[in-house]
Amino acid sequence: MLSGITLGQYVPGRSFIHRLDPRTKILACAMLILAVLVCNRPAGYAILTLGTLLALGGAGTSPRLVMSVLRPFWIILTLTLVLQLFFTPGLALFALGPLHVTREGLVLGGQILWRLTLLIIFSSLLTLTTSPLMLTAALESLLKPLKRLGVPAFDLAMMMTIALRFIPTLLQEAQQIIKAQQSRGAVFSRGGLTRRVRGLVPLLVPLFAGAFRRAEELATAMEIRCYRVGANRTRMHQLRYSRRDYIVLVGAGAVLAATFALRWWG
Amino acid sequence: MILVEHLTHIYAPGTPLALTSLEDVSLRIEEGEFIVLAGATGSGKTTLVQHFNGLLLPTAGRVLVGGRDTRDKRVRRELWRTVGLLFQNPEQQLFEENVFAEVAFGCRNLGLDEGSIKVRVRRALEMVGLDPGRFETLSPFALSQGQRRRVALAGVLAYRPRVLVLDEPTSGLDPAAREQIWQVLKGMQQHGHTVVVITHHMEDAARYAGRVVVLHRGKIYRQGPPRQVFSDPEGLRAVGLDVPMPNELMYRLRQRGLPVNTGVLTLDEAEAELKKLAPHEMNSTK
Ligand SMILES: Nc1ncnc2c1ncn2[C@@H]1O[C@H](COP(=O)(O)OP(=O)(O)O)[C@@H](O)[C@H]1O
Ligand SMILES: [Mg+2]
Repeated sequence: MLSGITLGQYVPGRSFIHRLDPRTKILACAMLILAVLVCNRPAGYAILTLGTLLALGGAGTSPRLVMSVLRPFWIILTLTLVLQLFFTPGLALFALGPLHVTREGLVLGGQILWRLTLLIIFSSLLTLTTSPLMLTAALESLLKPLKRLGVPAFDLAMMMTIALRFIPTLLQEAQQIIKAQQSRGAVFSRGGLTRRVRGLVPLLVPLFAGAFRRAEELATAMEIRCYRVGANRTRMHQLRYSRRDYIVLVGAGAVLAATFALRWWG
Repeated sequence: MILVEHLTHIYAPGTPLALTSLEDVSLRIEEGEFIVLAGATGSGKTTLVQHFNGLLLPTAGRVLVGGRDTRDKRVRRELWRTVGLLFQNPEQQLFEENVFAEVAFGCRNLGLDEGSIKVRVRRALEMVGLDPGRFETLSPFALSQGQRRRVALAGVLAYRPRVLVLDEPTSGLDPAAREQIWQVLKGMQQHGHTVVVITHHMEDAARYAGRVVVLHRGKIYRQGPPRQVFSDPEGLRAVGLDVPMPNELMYRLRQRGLPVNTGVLTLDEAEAELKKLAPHEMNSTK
């Protein structure tokens, strides 16, 4: 349970993708996600898959790491595939008892499975290769134009970083508490529904108590350092695009354009 | 009672974050022993004891508790009854609405009847120095940190596991509270329980441990009776541990060429050694 690489975890490194400007990564990620959503042609999937392989290669990600990123999602992924396989009307290929697997189901299920997998990989690559600090800096910079409209860009970015920063912490803490309560005989994953729900109390109460304590400590620590909501501040590290970034942005833009083109004119 | 054979543990194996926290550790803990586990922060103490009750499984090697392998799922499910593990900072795991229910949690999971739960909870609260009449009905969240720690400890004592494993139970407590916890553990040992304690207080270790096991970077660095382990201050300091004052004193005298025994545990023993050196002067100062 909750082992291996946790969701949203940053893994430091010096790869091509690691060294990209974080804004590039966010923009490219957004473009690729949009491309996945509009894609509906085999050629489009081929381009996207190629792009994914390039990105994975550029980040130096091992196949094992990709698997461990996908592992928490396997139930959802299998479930979607199975549902599509059996419940899409069309030409029956073969039967499993009263259920028929249709050709259309196979195609549709395969497409959805692949789309979800790509989406998970793109967003995980972003968090795997970008430190939370860089993510905020990038978000803040990207949201800057909205400041004129009264959007509190800095504070939004700060909220997002804090959330990102504490997700792994909370997961780790949950893991600790589960272990501690199991040591006193608590049971989390057996029994009927009511027993399971009641079994969550020994996990949730300490988890929330801890989260509130942490939030209070963090607020105090920020106030001591004179943090004020809405105040403007400067950054120690200025973000700058380099050639690498233009290459990636153009590449992601090309993938997006190609999937659009294939969808409407292909 | 607990047999650890060539235990290696790797966190997050196969990822860039993989970390070998224990490497080829072998250890045999006999029934009724009092063991202190020491080592610098990050040396693998917590990882090791979490193998004793099956929370962690060996990456390689095996752990047997009472002859049964912790890799067996059915063994693991019942293991907490035999090996009671008190976590580091256990005061953060409290969740019940009052102290009584909190201490009774383990007993309830054992399936004891209400009558004997009541007796055991009261007894356990008394052992850790909390007056049952006063504390039973309070919310654990209304207590001080030290009191919450004792409540958590009472929770393990109350269900009376044959092996007690405590991960830094005395850290952050005042000397009186620390002393009391050691006394309670000594008492448990005298009643036949096996006790394993992780601590950084080497003077306490010297006084209570039957055997001290020192971990360093995931390996066993030294083990033996405290007299033997503490007679080598240099080696201990090299791995980030303190040395009890009497040993330190004897060691330094020895370095100056005086014929003293460095395997002393208490100040009284140190004094006896000094008297051997200069019987006349020591008596005159008294
Ligand atoms: N859940 C975990 N995931 C990854 N690494 C861990 C985890 N718990 C401990 N470690 C690492 O394992 C090593 C040993 O830790 P630990 O057993 O907690 O040491 P100790 O209790 O002696 O301070 C440390 O380097 C620590 O960072
Ligand atoms: Mg520890």
